[in-house]
Amino acid sequence: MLVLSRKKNETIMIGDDILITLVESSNGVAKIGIEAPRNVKVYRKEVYDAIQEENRAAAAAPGTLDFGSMELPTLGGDAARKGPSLPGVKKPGTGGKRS
Amino acid sequence: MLVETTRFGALEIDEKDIFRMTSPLLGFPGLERYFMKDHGGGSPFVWLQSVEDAELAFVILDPILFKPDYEVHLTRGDVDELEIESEDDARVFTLVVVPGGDAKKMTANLQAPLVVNLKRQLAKQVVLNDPDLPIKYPIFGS
Repeated sequence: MLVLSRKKNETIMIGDDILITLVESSNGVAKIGIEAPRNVKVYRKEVYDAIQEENRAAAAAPGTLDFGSMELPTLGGDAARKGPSLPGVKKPGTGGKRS
Repeated sequence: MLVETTRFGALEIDEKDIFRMTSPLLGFPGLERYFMKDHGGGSPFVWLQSVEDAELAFVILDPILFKPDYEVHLTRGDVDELEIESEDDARVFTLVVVPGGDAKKMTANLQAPLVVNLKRQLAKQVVLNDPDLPIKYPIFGS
């Protein structure tokens, strides 16, 4: 691991496009600012690891599961499907502009 | 095309029904092609089956069925990666864990849902930046 020391507001560059700045550091907690291109994913590692582990647990489901008798709390046969919300994306039929 | 699966045997599926993961599911690098198969029997559960690994399949479920107030906010990066042009193109699923094969204890990962672009047949697991969203949300309540 490359270890570099930074004072507050100093920055590290990774490659040409990724900037890591020490925004603040106090009480053993460092606030780290990250600027990266949109296609570069940034994770807290413990979250990444937990999700990876959860995915692996999910992959273990046997095909013979009996779901048929399960009552789901809000079973929505007619429930309107809610899609994710998108930043500045225009809905069809409107003349919105992308932000 | 014929796809081998360990749970369901050989399945005949259409190439156009195959989703491409724009980023692989965390923990399963190198696997990009999946398709969805209803569990059937009137249940809302769906299987996400890998085309490339017969053994690999996940149970996924639309979160509106058990948590209607769950909201997924995508970043511009996610929207670009999934080539989403309209909210109507996108659907959200959660990956379900069935502990010990006991369906009554199943949990959904609300921290990292599967977002799908139905129009372009693209999908990715989006890690939301909300530490309050549980990774193991009990679908049938605790």
